Amino acid sequence: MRKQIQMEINASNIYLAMAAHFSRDVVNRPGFAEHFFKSAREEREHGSKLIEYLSMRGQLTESVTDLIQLIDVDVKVESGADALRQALELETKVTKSIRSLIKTCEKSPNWYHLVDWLTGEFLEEQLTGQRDLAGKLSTLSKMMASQGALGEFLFDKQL
Amino acid sequence: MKSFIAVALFAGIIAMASAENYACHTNVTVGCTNNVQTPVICHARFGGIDNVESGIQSYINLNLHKSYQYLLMSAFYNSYQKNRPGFNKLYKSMSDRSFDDAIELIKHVTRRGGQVDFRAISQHPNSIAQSKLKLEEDELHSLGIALDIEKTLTADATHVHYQSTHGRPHDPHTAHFVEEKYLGRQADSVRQLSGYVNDLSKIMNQRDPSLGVYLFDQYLEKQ
Repeated sequence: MRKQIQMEINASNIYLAMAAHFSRDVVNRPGFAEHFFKSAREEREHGSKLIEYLSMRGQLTESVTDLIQLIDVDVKVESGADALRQALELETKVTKSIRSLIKTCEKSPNWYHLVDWLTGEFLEEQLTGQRDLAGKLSTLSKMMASQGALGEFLFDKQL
Repeated sequence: MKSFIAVALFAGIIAMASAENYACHTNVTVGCTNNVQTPVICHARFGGIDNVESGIQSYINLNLHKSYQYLLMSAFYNSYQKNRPGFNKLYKSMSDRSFDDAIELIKHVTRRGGQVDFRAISQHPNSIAQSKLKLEEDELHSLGIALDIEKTLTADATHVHYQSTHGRPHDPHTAHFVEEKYLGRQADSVRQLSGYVNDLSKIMNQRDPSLGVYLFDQYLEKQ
């Protein structure tokens, strides 16, 4: 669970980096920037929810100081489509991590409630998020194929 | 003849004066090529942004770091052993505030044509990684930590303000932004926390402070 919390915070920082990139004047994609700022906030919320769950189950009475480390991220974004692709990969990675966490918690003794909570709340959000990103990526890629900068410009205004 | 020379000199001076750094219009069609190597000619950088960019980067790093420290403090007070919903609420709100501040600062830097480098977010001149702060402390101690954190944040904001007013060229926009968004509010925050610390220490100054701390926590929850 601790690793999962750190992973959510890392994801939040990666989204912040992407959002900062799209906020730049030379890139100028405010729609993408807002989308990624929102994603960063959401990932932080996920981390926060995981922490609350741990508190609820009686953990986090000690060793709290090192629970979250601020880790440098190196994000290189070539275009809007590239950012969406990277975001989709990131979400998939997080989902896989949650799944393996669920598998671990199902072994004896079975943490039924945690497994149920992770499946119902976290996986639900991850999977719908992935579907949304995949849809956006596919629409944008089709436009980028022939229209390039114009396609990205118009798509950004709709985000 | 003399007047001709005077006029020519005058025109020469005017021409030199207007050939400043605003070279965008002469090279704006550079952006029309597909070559990604073309340098950026038209950008939003003006005024004193060069002097303050690194200071703001530092302040962003600090805000993110402190935001997560507050989050962990709030998590600690949410555990069943501490069970202080008031303290939990206080630190969570400060964590959210710091995180939102970091986002506002990112938007400010990019508004001025700068960039934010996330490859060094864990770094800061007074890096707290060096001063290993233990976050699992008792209530009064934690308020003291919070007060110190607020003062650190304020000092950093003041530093950015200093850089923006004393740099050449100075940057009044950043100075105004820092003043408006951070300095006033930070002063209130420091005052509020100092009030809490002093109140709680007086309340605890007796043989059995447990009821006092409990009631203080209830008070914090109502804020």
